[in-house]
Amino acid sequence: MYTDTQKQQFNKFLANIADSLDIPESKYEEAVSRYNSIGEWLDANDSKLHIYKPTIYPQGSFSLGTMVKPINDSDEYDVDLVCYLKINKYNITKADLKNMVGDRLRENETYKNMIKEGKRCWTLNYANEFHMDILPAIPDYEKQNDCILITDKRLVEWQKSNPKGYALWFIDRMRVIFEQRKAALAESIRANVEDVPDYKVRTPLQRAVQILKRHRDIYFDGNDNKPISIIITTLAAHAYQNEADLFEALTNIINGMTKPENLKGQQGQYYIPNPTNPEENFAEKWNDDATLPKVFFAWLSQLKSDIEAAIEQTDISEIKESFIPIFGEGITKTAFEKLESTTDTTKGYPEVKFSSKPNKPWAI
Amino acid sequence: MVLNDNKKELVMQHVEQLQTTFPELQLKKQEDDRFIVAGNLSFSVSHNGKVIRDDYDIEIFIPGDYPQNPPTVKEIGNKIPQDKDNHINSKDETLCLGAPLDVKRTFAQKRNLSWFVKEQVVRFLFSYSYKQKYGVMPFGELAHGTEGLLEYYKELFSVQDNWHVLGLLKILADDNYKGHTPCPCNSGRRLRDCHGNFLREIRKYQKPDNFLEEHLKIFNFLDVGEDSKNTRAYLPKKVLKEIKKRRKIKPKRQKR
Repeated sequence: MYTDTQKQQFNKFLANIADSLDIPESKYEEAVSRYNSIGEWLDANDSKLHIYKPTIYPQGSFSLGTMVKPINDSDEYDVDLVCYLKINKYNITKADLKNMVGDRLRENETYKNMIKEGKRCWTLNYANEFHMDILPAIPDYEKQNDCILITDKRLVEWQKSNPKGYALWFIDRMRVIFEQRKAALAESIRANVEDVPDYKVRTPLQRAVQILKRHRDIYFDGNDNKPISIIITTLAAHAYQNEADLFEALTNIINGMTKPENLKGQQGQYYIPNPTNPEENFAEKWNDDATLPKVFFAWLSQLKSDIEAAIEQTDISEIKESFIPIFGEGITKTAFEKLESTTDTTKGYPEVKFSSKPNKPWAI
Repeated sequence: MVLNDNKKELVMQHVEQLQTTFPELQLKKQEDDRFIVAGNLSFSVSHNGKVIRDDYDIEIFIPGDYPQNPPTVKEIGNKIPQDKDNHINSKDETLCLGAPLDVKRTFAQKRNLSWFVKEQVVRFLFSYSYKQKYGVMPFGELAHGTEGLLEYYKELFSVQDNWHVLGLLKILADDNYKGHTPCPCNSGRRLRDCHGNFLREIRKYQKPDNFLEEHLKIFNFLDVGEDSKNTRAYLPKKVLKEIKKRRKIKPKRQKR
């Protein structure tokens, strides 16, 4: 990687990879309208849940702008939703909370054919579109802001969480670039900044997270020890310094993710807290199973050397070849085609074939 | 650089043909009827499995005797630093597409702008882009100045000896082709059986005065003196006349 043009092309290629992994805007909007309908159904006047003022809101990658397609390259996106009910934890059991949401969903003619029961959530399968995971939650009155309680997988204990707060923290970690990109986007479509929804903006942090997650999905391919997305996202957001350049951001993130102060607690145990709720340790399992941190670090160093090897390639078609094994053939090809078509439409590069004997350049 | 009406028509035709491949190059009429074709030249060239896409802002100067002689070209986007190492002529900042005879010879194959731009300008710019990327000139390059010129003629004539180059150039400079004389390359054959046909071909591309000029450059570069009989056998007639004249006025100079 030598010239600016080559760097730009490498950046564009990476951005296209992230874009190809992302949920298209039209699908995003469709998902929003779908979960709003679910919310309306749960809160309808004849609903038993109506008195608890149920609301549905997204959490995780859908709300962070860090979605990635599944590795089989299907177009079915996982959308994680919180179903928030205003109930005091002393007035309801974990199982009842889960079941009352499931019961109401099953009352709907459409939903009852799409519903699947999970350990603590309900999944609505929209064929060829989405898997909507609906996680029942109640307020955590001991905390402020948007802290919630959710049930654990055995329906025995309340777990603390704060997806709304986390999303705000995540945006805050990329505030500078986020505002810049949003303003630039507004200008390009001749709109007011206030009228541009957040989900239309993508920063190098979001794209880097998408690239990391994709690499992880391919690297672990079905292995249960794969690091969870929230750990990758949190560490990446800590390491991000509002770099405007995707490649630079990615490199700094990969190098910065292993900083001990973001990984370990004061007693030396693994501690990657939800920045908006110190009681939620994303790395809790790492302290019980030493394999988890071990494979995390092994994966990260593999990712590092894969990216370094790709950037060594000077020719775009060689970069493509080195991306295929690490990001998958389908995604890489889509990204590559997009790269070719954008270079072709912004400018025509007539193909020239020489037929004469070359003149050797000279100078007086 | 003044073009008459027929020439103008021809240039305009050639520009139109050029634009079918490179639409961003436009004809610009300068003062005194001087013609310049300018704009952005973008290209994609595949060479040894590597694809180079690049673009340069250029100006092409159409000479008054076009299409007898090829145009000259400047890169005006400051993409190529003005340096001999980048094959930019220090005198007029034009691109040095090759040794003068070579440029004329390649141009003469079609004598139009499309050919010139594709085969010579794009070839040059592609080589520059390629070198930036991979560190080598894909089709080689000549040394600067007279050294490079000598190198070019040695390769062109397939001879090793500097004197053989001078001997062959002398024939072109004197415009004095005699097929029965021994070939200056020392092969022992007659000129018509050796370099003769080749000399007859290349003298079509360049005037005797141009060959004379190049001969003298090489001669002076070799710095062998004019005096020995051996040396003088390789000098063109015009030069020998000059030497004789100088000899006659030499004593006067010494008196001063």
